[in-house]
Amino acid sequence: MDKEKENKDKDKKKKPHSVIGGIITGLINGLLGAGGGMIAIPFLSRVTEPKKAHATCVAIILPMCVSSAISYMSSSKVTLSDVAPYVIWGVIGALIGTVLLSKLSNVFIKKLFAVFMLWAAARLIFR
Amino acid sequence: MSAGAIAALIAGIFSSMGMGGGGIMIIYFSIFTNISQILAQGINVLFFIPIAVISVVIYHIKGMIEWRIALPFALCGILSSYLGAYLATVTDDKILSKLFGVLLLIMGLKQLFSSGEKKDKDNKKLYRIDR
Repeated sequence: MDKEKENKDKDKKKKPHSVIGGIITGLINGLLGAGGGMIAIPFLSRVTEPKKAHATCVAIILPMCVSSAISYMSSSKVTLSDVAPYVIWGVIGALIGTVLLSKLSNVFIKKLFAVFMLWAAARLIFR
Repeated sequence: MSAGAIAALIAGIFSSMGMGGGGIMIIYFSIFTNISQILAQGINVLFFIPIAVISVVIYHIKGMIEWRIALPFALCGILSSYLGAYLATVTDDKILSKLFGVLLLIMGLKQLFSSGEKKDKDNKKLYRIDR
């Protein structure tokens, strides 16, 4: 009984984060077609351990991407044939990535990816 | 292997780990091709769906997904992600790519200056208290 009540209290504490986090994550992910995960992770990290946060994040972004995809496709901004050449490589990458996540915590990769993002940011802003 | 295939492979790896892999495809398009920002975003959104389906199945089997947290979080985002995508379709492409640049800038700086290991430790501590 006590445990159940405790869980309910925990749920109560988590809900506001889910609402605010969910709305912001969805909005950014829809508007910019990416980046939702980076917004969701800090919210998720407050309530669960890092690896679970990353796995849960993927489950959260999936329905959001479906919803965004419907919107993009209904205004014919993108078609299935546009994405076809990349899908198989992405799927192979996913199979590698899911194994890697279990062995994560590589600070070097994180930093490298950060520098990579900054370089692309500069290009996009100043082009 | 073309540059596009390599980008898709790397994006698949990072996407499946929930580490902002989506950015990689859009970065690839903006650097190596001349397609519009909105098309790049549309491709990326579609591209992520099969990757996420596979990843979610695998993580679920491994028991790594906290559905109790994921479901309300995702539900709150479905409507706003549709709205966000609609906003993107009516926003000027130049503004969109600049906005994306700002997003990458924030993400990059955040990732660069947050020490991964220290953060992991902090999170674990938080998690224990929470439990």
